[in-house]
Amino acid sequence: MSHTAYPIRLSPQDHSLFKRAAKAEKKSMAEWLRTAGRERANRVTKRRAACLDYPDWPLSEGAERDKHYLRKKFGGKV
Amino acid sequence: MTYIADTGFILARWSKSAARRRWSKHFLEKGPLPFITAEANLIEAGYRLNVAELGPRLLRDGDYISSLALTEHAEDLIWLLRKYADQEMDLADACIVQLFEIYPQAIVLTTDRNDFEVYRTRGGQKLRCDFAPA
Repeated sequence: MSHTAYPIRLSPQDHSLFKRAAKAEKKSMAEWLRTAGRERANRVTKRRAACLDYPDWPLSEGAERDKHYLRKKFGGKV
Repeated sequence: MTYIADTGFILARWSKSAARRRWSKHFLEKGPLPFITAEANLIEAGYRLNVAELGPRLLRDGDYISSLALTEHAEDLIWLLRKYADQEMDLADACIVQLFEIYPQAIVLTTDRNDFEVYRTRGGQKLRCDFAPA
């Protein structure tokens, strides 16, 4: 069940920008704002990074050392 | 809190050092995500780890966001690279310094204490950093 939660006032610039973006994606402005808000909320409220579940790729000792080491090894900029 | 991730932080997840892995895990578990970085750092991290898909994968999964358009900041980046030419600053480091100029309230997560204790923004500001354990 849906309900109106937060009617918003927009500046003319934002109104025009959002309307154009919504039109480009063939959405109503309300739907476009809902999608944008959902994406942003998912990003902000997400807590645990996905890379913690990536494979344990081997990182060589040389590649992990700081750039001074790499510069010495390759004799130039890295 | 906003965090800016240097290449060393991105790689610390795969570090051989348990202390570094713990350091990175502390932030990766707590967020807030995404961490801010630049494409140069993601490319460097992928190259060093020898995993070409690392950068795009981290961006796709929302762990990191690339927040520096090189075109827009070319002038500042050239200025930084010339200023720190003696230290052989590379583009990835210059991007992190420039990101701090854009997000002055952020904390830079880095493993590179030698360089980042010296770098200043173009406005002369010292970077606030959280350094990895040695």
